[in-house]
Amino acid sequence: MFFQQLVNGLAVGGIYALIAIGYTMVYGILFFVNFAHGDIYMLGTYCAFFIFGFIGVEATGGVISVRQFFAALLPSMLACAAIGVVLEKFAYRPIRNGSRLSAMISALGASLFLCNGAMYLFGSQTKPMPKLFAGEYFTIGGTIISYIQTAVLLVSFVLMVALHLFIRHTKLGKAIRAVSDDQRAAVLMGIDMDRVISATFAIGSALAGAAGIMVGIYYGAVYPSMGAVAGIKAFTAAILGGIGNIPGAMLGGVLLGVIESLGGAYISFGYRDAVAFFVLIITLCLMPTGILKKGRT
Amino acid sequence: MGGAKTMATLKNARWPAFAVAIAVAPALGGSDYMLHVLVLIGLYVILAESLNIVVGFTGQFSLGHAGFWAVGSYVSALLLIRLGLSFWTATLISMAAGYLMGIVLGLPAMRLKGDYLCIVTLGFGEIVRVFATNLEVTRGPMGLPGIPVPEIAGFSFDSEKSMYYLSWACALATIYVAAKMRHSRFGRALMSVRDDELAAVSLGVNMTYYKVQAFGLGGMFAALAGALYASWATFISPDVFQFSDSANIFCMMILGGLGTIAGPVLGAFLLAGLPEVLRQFAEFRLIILGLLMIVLMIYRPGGILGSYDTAGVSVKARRRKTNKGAKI
Repeated sequence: MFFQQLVNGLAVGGIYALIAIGYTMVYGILFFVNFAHGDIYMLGTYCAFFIFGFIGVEATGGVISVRQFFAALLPSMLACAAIGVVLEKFAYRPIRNGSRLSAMISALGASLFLCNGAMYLFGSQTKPMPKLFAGEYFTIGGTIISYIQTAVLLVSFVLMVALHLFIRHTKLGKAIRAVSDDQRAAVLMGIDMDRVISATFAIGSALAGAAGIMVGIYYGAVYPSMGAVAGIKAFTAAILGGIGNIPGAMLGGVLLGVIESLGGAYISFGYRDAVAFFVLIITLCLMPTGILKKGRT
Repeated sequence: MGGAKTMATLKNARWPAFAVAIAVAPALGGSDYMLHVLVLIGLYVILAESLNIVVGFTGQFSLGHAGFWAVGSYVSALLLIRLGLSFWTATLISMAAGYLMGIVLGLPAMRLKGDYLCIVTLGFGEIVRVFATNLEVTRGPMGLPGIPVPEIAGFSFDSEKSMYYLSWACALATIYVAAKMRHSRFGRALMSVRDDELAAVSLGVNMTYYKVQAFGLGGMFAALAGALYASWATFISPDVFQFSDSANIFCMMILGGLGTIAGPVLGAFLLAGLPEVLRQFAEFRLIILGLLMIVLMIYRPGGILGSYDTAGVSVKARRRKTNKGAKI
């Protein structure tokens, strides 16, 4: 049972990690919590839902091929990136020099707007999502590992490696790191803040979109309020790993997923969410900067 | 000078005038539905005003206020149903429970601030909900039906009108306590912690004590709103006390004006009242509300009545300070 829960936790944790990266990147640069991030993730799932509908996959009981999955993944990530950039432009840019509190309220407002906008446009009922691999699985020493879990872990892993390479080895990535380290010095060196911030929102939102599709397929459902809980969990993961720190968000996400699954299995499934938050509160009280501190500051 | 005096009199008279307006409002006619909405607003006034003690006065972000509301509701409801206590005893005990919960939550607050505190309080709200959903005694997601209404000397608060007076009496009492607190030694200590922790501590303010007390008092009044809510709605379930409610209460306080007394009241009227008035636009109301919050933060970040700047110091207070010496 331990290994089974570990596998389940890893798959969910990979998804948390992808969403957490968006929180942590925005926090690293603008020092505020983008509460609308969870709703961008929800919009990502809807994007995929409509793309599957467009290419004629049956939502209930339908099975998509790997190619169809990627055909939906990339446009949805792009769409989420665009939504993130537009959101930043209209809701956050005008108050960038204001207090962090107003940014937070604006983010809560944006979250309300997106969630209820989706409810109005797409209906509030839960809609089914098609499956990938139709529940096939393989076993290693009695532990059942489904193909979809493997796919989720693999895609999350590849995206995180890609992000890492981007942040480490491209000029824009360097600029993002520079702004996150010392905003004033970065601007004095001629780095275009607006561009860096837009890029940050685009990347974070695209990853949230990817997470959204995978969750939609993993649980086979999409609904407008799905962003709220996932958003809170991912934010928890970001803090657990040390907010503002990208590897921290990855680690925090995976850890949170595993702790939650194990806690749910050994204590009680119903208390799964409470376990996650207890861990969070204890972590914060004992090491308020998270597991990995924000480096290089 | 006469003008200034009239202004001062008007300013002093605004709360009594508000109380009178509240008292005569039902006499001006209005349906049960109107009263129903007003009861809801009254409860939100208590919630927003009590959150204001934690956030507005003491500067501690809290996004878990619905947790205290839930604690108050459940404690009171269980005492009423299982032990058959009277509403008044149950309310007092639930307020004590809310106070204790606040103290417990305030303990991590000693070490955390800003966004970290935000997430801990948010986690607290969720934990309360998870327990309410899973415990046997709270009947989980099915909730607790049949909560008895308040009674006193044979009079039963079973109509919207009587509940209106009861909830607004409590709301006005909360406003009164908050206003008194703001100008007391205790309130000044809270605000000194908010404005400059280091200066406050070096002047001998026991920071830990005040931070924890702020949470305790905030929790206590939120529990009062909870007890009233339980007996008014006669049914509670974990779905009532979601994160969105915590966020909603937080927004009421901010929209009206953080750290002011009238701000949370105005915020409660706007955010709890307007959605009801705009019923015919039910589909759009939360969309509009979201937009409104963004627009307000762009053009009036201190809230409608407030004047709060980035440093966390009330501009008004600072102006007064420079005009009249050190008095804040």
